[in-house]
Amino acid sequence: MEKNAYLTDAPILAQPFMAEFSAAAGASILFFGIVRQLSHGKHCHYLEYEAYEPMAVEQIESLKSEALQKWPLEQVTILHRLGRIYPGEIAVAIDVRSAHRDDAYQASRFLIEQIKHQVPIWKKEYFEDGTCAWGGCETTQSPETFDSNQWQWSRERELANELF
Amino acid sequence: MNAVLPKIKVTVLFFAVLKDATGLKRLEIELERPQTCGQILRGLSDQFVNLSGLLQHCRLAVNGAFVDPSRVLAGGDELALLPPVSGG
Repeated sequence: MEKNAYLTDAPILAQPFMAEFSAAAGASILFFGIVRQLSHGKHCHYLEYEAYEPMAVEQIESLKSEALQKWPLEQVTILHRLGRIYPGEIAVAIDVRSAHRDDAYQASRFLIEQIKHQVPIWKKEYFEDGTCAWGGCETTQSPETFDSNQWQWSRERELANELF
Repeated sequence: MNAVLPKIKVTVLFFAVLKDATGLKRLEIELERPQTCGQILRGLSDQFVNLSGLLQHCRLAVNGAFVDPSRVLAGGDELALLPPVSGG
């Protein structure tokens, strides 16, 4: 079931996102993040997502507001899965509609990148060989191979220097 | 003269790899005197040896907002330790 407007324990279905279009929005960019079977050379059996839910909701709400301020958008819908999810299923859906396509393309990209790097949601990958690993952790990936989160690692190094 | 000060109760939340490392989702702590988040982390790394090497990669949030380690905790605060995120 949907826990709130942005997080859900239930499978995210593609069809409802394509149900209704308004005449004001000439562009609709629908992004689905799908669980990939091959992850770091291993076959994924399933994932489990968990979140710091109140903060995740606030962060997604804030990102949505930021997108609405940056671009003239007609509508923004964001839904992220929690719990167990299998390869081929939708992990996140981002639907951005605007009068013209440039704004929708840019806002869609902005939102998925920010969600991946900012929002307190974590995945644990369970592989077919029986092993498992938390995504985004040094225990499974070295910072050097963590290219999409470079800024985050450097920020964390700063924090670490302040701490210890 | 020496009034007994009420203890400061704070909650620490563990997520993802930190939850597995400690075996805890949350921990209630009573402080004798105000402490910063950084001081709390040092205490936790002494208490949970499995956390060593993990805490330095965490961002910190108090009551749902990102904070620096210098933030002083007040009674009722909820300190969340956030390892590198991996949603999306």
